[in-house]
Amino acid sequence: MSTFRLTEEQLHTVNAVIQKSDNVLVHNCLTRTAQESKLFPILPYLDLVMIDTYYRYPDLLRKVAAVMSPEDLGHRVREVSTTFSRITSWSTLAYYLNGRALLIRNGLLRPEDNLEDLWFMVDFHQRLMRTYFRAGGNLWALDAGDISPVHEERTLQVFEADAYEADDELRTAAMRFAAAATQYNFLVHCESRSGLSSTGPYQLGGQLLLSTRDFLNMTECGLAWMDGIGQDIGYANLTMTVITDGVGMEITDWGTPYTTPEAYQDKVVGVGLYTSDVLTDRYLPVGMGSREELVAEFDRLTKAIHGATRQLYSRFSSMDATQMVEAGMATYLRAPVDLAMIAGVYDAADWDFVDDRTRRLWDLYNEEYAYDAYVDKFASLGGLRGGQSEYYLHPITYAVWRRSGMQGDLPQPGRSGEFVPADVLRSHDYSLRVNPGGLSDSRGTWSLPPKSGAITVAAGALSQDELNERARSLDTPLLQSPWRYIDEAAVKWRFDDPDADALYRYTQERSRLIAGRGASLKRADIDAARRAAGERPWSELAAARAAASVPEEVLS
Amino acid sequence: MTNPMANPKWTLPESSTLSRLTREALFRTVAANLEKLGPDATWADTVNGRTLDLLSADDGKRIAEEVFEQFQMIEGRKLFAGCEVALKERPDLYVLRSAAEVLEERLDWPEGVVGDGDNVFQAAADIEGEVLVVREVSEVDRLMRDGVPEGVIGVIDDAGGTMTAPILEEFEGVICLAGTVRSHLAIISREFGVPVLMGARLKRPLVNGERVRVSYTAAAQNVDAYFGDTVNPRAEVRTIDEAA
Repeated sequence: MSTFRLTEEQLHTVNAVIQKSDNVLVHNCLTRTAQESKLFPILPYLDLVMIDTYYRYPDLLRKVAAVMSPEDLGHRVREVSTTFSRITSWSTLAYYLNGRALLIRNGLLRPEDNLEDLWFMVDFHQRLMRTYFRAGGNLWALDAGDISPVHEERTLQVFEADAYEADDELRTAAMRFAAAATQYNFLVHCESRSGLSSTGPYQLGGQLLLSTRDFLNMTECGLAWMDGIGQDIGYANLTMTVITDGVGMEITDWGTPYTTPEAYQDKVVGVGLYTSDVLTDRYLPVGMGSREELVAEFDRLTKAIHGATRQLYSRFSSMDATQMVEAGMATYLRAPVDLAMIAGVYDAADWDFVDDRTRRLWDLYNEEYAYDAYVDKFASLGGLRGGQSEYYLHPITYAVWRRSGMQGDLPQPGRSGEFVPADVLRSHDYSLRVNPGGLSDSRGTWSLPPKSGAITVAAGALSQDELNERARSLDTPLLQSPWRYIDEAAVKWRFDDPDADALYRYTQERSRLIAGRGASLKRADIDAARRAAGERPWSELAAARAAASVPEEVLS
Repeated sequence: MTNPMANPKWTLPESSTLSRLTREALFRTVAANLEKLGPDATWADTVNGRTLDLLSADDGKRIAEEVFEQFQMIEGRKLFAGCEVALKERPDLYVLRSAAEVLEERLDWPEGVVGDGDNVFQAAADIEGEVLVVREVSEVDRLMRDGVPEGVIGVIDDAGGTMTAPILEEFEGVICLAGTVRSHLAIISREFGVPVLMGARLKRPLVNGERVRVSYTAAAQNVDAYFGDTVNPRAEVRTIDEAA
């Protein structure tokens, strides 16, 4: 029997995180009308899965935390691209908090209920996020002015050095791939962004920016409806590195890059391509042997994606409404699923169902009520609770009101989140865990065909047991001392430390231009390496572009 | 035991009749079920261990039916559905939200202009084309098989990135009657370089085969307009026949 009690310090941490999550949510929801799709029942699945995560995440993540610490996980997900990404790292906590708020609004929960779960979720999430984003130091893109740096210098140096200069042929091939992959990925994830992510932008000087674009779950993976889909693609996760010249870019907490100008394609000057997953501790180059090979690989992938899109579209078209809601819910529920895979404790039976406690609300969250509940919860901030008092000003909606010239009345005093009342510190009349008996308390059903295919990783198509076995036996030196404790801040002052040098060499091992160069490498050295390979440094390329764009009358 | 959430000091109104009716029915049901649990039951013990006694799956079904009846009496219509499969399975419950399309009630439409919208990106040229209205998944299926005819401007009412996914690249341009320049369709259109107007408002419905000219060279809508920044003028849709 747990004797957990929330301390005052924890209470204030929890409420501050609830408000921060609320700010991020409202900031991103402001730019959207309510989401609807002719193909997918988005609003029913969106509302219902929030509630489902409330019942399930604490024990799903306790199972992971029993094997790996949040810090271990944060180190792992920073080094590669997994489905625990910019957006899903936000949503892992946000979905849970939203489910909590929806249940409170439905009269099925009090804000003080299940405090041990709430503290576990906040603590686990914050520790993981602080490790994941240690390079940038901001846990939320919102706090960084909507940019999202993740990678450290040693990884970025490989990306910078190895990207190929984009002539028209490579640029066209890369952009066609990015478009097709983006579109297909929305389809894979039932119209959600769960499988798309970005990091950066990172500066290369002048107006040159480097960013990464992730396309995840592109073929057979843990998603049950992906069995037999996209096998020609060959990779579950693909990461494209993109270097632009003269493009402004923001990357939000939802992992979406927005550029200025909006049509940025002709300003792409360099690209690279990699794969990675829960069993890799570094990015693996894809088609990077030569510029010609990369063009061919982009073209091959685009063709395969087109085929997979049609295949998957037909599969979804044959599903009934219940299955489509369940599939949509699964894409959201699985936000932290790669943490279970990294920890080697993934069991599809833990994930692939809808909890009976959520299922009881199935008919209530019909197409229109789900839409209205979304508007109340995420957009107008109305409904049963709102803010704690009539004096409340939401920092995001109030800022918009001021910036737009104070048109009309102030925004109503609503908020999306629900604080924990401070009187939990003096009265302990509350429950501790939503599943007092642990993960087995969560039971439910699913009408989707069960997953039977493989899970694709760079090492091949694996069964669940094979995946778990390999994950448990993965012994990456990046998680061990001394490398674990060598970050950019350490290397800045101790780049001649032999351990730092060895760490950099490990990251550079598959680099085509800077393998074995070690920790003392600077941009000038990367420029020299590119020149030696007969390729222009990015700054020279930018200078040539600038010269070419100067009108002749100015030159004369 | 009474529901501890039933009597807040203050509250904000819900955004719709349906939300209010649903909340009232939920709270009535939870209150009645709490009564049945007897005076010795405590909330802390009930909220998890006996939560299906607070609200069962049967309760959920019954409330949904009751609320729908009340809603129809008050609003005089069926519920709106966003997705087709919901309507297909429950035509007794739903009409498509897009079928209730409201035309823009403006008296000052410039001559020849039949609509406007937020431009996703500034294209190199305006586009003239023949309107093809695509509102159903079955129509996308057909176009996937037969191909989209050349020179077509698609008119769609789905701002998502999936319904028109297999055929988007084949349009000369798109007029989308929903969404914003941050919607999924807008994200994809930028990637493909297919010009798109989002959140388009129409003076009258556009019909298959009519020719229009869309000013895709207009400035892209400012994505920060939603945060209170400058709102750029909307791009125009002109009918070529009427202008002539």
